[in-house]
Amino acid sequence: MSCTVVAREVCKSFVIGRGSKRRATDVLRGVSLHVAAGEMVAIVGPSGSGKSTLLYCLSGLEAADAGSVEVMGRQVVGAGRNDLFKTRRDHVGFIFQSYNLIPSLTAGENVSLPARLAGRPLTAAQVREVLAGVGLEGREKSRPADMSGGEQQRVAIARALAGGADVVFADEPTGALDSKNGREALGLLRGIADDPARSVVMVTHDLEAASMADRILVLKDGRVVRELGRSNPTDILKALEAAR
Amino acid sequence: MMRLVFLDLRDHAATWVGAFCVAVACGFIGGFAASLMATAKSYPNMESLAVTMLMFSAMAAMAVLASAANLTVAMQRRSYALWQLANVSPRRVAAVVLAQLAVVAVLGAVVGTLVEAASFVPLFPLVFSSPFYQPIDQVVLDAGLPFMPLVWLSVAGVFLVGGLKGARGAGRTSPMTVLRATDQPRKGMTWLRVVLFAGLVFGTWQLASSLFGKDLDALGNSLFLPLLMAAALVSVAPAVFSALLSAWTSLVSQNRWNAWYIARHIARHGLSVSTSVETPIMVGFGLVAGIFSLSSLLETVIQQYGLTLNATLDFTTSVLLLGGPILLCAVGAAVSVVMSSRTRTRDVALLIASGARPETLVAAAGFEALIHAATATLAGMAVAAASNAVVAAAVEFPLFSGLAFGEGLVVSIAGFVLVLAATLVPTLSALRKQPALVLAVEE
Repeated sequence: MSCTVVAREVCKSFVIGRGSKRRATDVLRGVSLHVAAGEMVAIVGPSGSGKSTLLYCLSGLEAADAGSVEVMGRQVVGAGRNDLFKTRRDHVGFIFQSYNLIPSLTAGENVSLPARLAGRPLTAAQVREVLAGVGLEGREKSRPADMSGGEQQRVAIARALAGGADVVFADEPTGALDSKNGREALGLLRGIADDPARSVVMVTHDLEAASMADRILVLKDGRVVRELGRSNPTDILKALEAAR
Repeated sequence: MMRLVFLDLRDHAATWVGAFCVAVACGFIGGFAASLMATAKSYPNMESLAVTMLMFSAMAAMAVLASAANLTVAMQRRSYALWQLANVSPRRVAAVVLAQLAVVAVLGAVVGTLVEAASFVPLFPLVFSSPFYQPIDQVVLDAGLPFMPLVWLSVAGVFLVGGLKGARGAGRTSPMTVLRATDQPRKGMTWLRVVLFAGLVFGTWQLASSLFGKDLDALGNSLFLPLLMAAALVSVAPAVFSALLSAWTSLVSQNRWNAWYIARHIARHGLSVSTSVETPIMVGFGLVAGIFSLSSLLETVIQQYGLTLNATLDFTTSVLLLGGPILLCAVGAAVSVVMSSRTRTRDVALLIASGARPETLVAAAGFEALIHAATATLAGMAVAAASNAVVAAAVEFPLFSGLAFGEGLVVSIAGFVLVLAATLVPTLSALRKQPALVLAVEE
């Protein structure tokens, strides 16, 4: 079984407050995990447990203070700017709660941007095909401002797919969606993880969403305190309550 | 309400400082005109100079002030949406916005006039150093302090008129629409702009008609032609600049450079910012190139007819006619880009997350400045060429004889450098931030 992401003893702290009230807060305290190809991993935990920070550190969007993170065999912690850029460009896709589409680009342009930046521009037909794959046939000319939240999230998923990402990191992907759109977005993410060459790492508060993952990591105070296999929402809730 | 006005100004000082800088520049120029007027009481021939200076600077001031006011309100939409969610009524939101505009305008104008009053005495001999105005050592200088409140009111008045539509819009827009939208709305043409355009075209037509069949002395009025034409173009700037930018940038292949692709999209999409940046450079180029072209044309005409009139622009006349507009245009262009730096930070983070190289984004910032400067220059060239053609036709010369873009290009290059600094600095600063932090803040 090959791993797409391997993290060992990842630590991260932030300095908060001003002047004499400045103090360092440890957000991640030695997190270790691995994500296999073809696997969907959900990270759950109470607010402030460090879920999003962990996701950003794993993806290289945020620099970890210590430890090691390998994405597709490439070291992320302490990597130079160019190496980090190449890792993100070649292997990583992001999906954010607030979609984070680029407002000046159409849906089609948003989808094709990562591939274009990687020097592998998509043809118009390929863009249409990717958008059709997320249920947005004929919407390539629409701008983010003219799309609903569910549609924007589908574009974000299509963008992650079109870039050829091996690992898709999703931060609360259903957080801003209603239940119907949320289910559809999760179905698309599940579809990505069903590809044996790809994996999905998702941070979520949504127990239904977490129940679609192959593994669930429960985070508390910056540490993985429990690991579950595929579980139903009730079991995940019990694990979360035990962690509180 | 006053508490809300001042607390919000303090919290969003980074956005309002741009409008403040524009108001300072307007106050300085208005103050200089007021000082000239006061000094001219003893020297009546100076009065017409002050009036001409005011006319040229007033047009640039109106364009730049209104543009800065609108852009500031557009940048603050999210904050105004939050007020509405806190049950501040739409009418009160509009009132607070107008009060903020008035406060910033008056404060800026006061600072500008104070700086001018303090610098008028050393500045006067520098400005009037041309031989035609010598000797000036006997001139009794008067800073004209009693006129200054009039300058403050004028600056505040233009700011309020310029920001009126934005202020009313801030109160009327649904807060959830604003909070959901990740970008600024595209503001196109309004009926007010169309009416203004029609009026200015009529004025231009009247002036142009009056030049035909008159003697050479009457051609002095032709110097106002570029002013009116630039003003007419300013009134339809959102439509014209957007189309012009799209047209000429489409000539360069989108697949050639990623940086060009990104820059073109940013420049095309941010209509409010683009118009605010391009308007001042267009006005600066149009006035400078237009007036120098006409001066050159009239000089040729005078030589041909063997007359003794003088149509050459000396240093003093150039400074008085063009110094104000150029200063305003420079401040306006730079301020517009700096004010939009907050959205640039987010765009940079998004592009980095999408796999853009930092070098690509730095190059995109350079291309963006180039796109703005070139679009404005093309529009300014049209103004200079059109005004030159009208006067050339009136004196029965070839349409483009005398056309000179050199001096205007100096304005364009200066504008490009300013806009480049204003796009590069926020981009470099955004590149130093962790994308995750920027994107998480947005959530």
